[in-house]
Amino acid sequence: MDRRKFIALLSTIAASYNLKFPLALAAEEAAPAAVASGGFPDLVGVAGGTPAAMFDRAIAAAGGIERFVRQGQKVLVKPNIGWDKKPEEGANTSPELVKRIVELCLKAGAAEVRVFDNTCNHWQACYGNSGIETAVKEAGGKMLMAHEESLFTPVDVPAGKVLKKTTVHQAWLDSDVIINVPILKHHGGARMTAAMKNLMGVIFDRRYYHSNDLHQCIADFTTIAKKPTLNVVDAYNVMMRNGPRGVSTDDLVTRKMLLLSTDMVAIDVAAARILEVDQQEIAYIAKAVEHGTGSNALDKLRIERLTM
Amino acid sequence: MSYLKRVRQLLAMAVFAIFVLVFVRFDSFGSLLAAIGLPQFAPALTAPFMWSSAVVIAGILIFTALFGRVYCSVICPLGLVQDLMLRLRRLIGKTGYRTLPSLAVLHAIVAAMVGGTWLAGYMLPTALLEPFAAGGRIFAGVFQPLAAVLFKYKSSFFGDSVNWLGMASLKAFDVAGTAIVVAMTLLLFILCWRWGRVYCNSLCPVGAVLRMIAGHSMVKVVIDTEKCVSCGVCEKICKAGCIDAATKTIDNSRCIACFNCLDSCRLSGILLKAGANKHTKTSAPTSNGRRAFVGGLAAAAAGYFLPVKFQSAPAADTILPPGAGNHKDFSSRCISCHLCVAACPSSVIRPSSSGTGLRSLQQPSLVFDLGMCEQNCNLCSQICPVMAIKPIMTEHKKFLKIGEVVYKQNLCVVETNGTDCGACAEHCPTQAVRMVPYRNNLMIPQTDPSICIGCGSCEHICPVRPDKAIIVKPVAEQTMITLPEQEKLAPKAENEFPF
Repeated sequence: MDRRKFIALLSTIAASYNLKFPLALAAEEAAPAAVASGGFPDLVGVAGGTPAAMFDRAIAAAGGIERFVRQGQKVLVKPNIGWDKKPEEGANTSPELVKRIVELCLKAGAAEVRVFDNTCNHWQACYGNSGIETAVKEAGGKMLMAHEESLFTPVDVPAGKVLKKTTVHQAWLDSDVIINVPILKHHGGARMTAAMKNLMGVIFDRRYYHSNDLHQCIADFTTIAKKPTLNVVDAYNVMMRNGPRGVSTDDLVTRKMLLLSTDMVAIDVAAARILEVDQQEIAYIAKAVEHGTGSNALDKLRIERLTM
Repeated sequence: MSYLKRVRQLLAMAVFAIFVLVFVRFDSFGSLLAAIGLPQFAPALTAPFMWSSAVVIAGILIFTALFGRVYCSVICPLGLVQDLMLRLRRLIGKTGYRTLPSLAVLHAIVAAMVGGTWLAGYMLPTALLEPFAAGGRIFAGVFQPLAAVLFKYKSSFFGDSVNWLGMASLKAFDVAGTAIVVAMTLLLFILCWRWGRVYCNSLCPVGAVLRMIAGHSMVKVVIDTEKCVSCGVCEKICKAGCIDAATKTIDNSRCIACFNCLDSCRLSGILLKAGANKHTKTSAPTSNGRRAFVGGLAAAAAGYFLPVKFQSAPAADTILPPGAGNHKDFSSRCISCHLCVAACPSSVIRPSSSGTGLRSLQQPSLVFDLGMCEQNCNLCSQICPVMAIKPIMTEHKKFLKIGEVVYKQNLCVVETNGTDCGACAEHCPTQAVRMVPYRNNLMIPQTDPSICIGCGSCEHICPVRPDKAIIVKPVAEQTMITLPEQEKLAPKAENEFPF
């Protein structure tokens, strides 16, 4: 081997050795896609349609999916898939809605759309019975596993009051766009689950939250560098009691609504109104406002209300 | 004749592969269970009046009457495990076997004792010696946890998208449980090392039944006394030790139909034949049939009547799989094959070291550290080969109480930290644990044991350590709960935004 060949070989080895490292670094540094608010409403509420049709209306009113997803970007869609329940039981995000979002993202040129949740029941049962795994595959998206600690990466939460560090799913860190798609439900511990509470499904150790001031931890997590680009709340069938798992479909009230906002706090405040819970009751909302995550003053926001 | 041995080996390898697949990845290969679970002799005996069991038993007996103990070399999981051990023995460098005594009387006594205790519902002897159970425990206690570790560490090879390796359920390595299985496996290996498949002709209850028939089977291995020069080559190759070259005889009752001997003789002095002819001698002369019968009868009676002290109601100190009924029924049926342990997707069914004591061996019970007994799952009740876990529909299972909640407020986060938690109520499928208002705008768990099904969701998720603030205690009898009628929620006007 002559000198030139040797150097070429050496640099190839060096390059492949470093291949993963700079990519990962770049991904972790990627700030949430900066979305200009110019001219668009802060919060869109749609009522009266199917979840997918309402999403179409809402996203159109918010400037179209192209405002959030650009050509070649990696998108993460994070629904609530926490329970081994069927779609009609209202415990998981509507698969039809998830499917529509994945489709639109791919249509907008997303390089890849990935979906996961760190579930409460057995993950394969949840992925299957929720209908979400099938919906995502049909739409051309990819389901990720999230049941194993090795799939999560430690992160610091510098602004956190209680939650100083946690482990987040790698896909949360290396996605360019994150679309948070919770379903609105009553919640025995947190009072309500919607946008901010749904993010408990992207970290591994939920027990830490539960034993260290649940509300503060939920609010603290909203301060990490990587935030959802967009939040969509499924409020078609709303679990009004016995949440978040629900005992039977008697716990549901059909509201045929959908909310969309880039502001996790604003969308949760609006969701609380639908759930008929005073936002004061939901301690994490005030704590998130204190962190500057978003605004709880709906009267100061531009809200678009659409009916179908 | 060599093709017979090859066919036997291929079939045995296929059956063994299915065993490994079923026990190691029940989620993917569970449907193959019918192929290996159905033709098992002892499990079929537990429900002799079901037509499928009757067909299986009759089929095995008739097949044995025709062709000898092919069952022992092809179907029996412990037979296959022993053949692997014998292969290992050869690899290490120890070859050759010797002629063994008949041991017919001992075998009859052991098997009859197992049968007697089994009928009496005292399961320790059956659990120890029945080959399906012993084989199952080796697969579930050694192979599966090792495979689970492999799956866990190799799943990232395919990245984080849903992949087959990652879909394996995590399995606990129960040190005590695995130690027992490993010890028994080593014991079996020592037996194999010294005397080949002696277990099959001295301790195995299934072997004891089959040998009574195999001695008179239509097709059997025989020695042509005209050609045989008593060189002993076939004797050395016989892992059942049933060939005596000196007397030119074969004890066909002990022959496990491996056909290894057929090719060993250069003089074609040993062959497979239907019936005997004038140049062949078949059975070693045995005069101990009567002794075996009397001894067996006495052992069966002793087995049935003596261990009465073990038949008193066992302590109800474990949580049983859904469908088990109560501890007395369960402990008198379960043979500890650990199929349910291998199949449980959330790995809550575990071999239990406590509870049964000397009553049985590692009968399973529920532990909730890795998961909860999932509401929509009734897998264990579908697959239990001896109906120790009786079939239960998922619609019923949702309301089947297998344990009962115990809440310890003095340990609870809400009480000790003064912060909201609610993890237990969040996971409770029946709201037997619900959150109620407490001081300082907090919510605290409140339990209603009457609607608790004991699924362990609350215990699994409770964040308090080392002792959890909410646990499930065993119940004496599994019963159905009735959920109270809920008041209907008023429908809401649509298209009216509350903001």
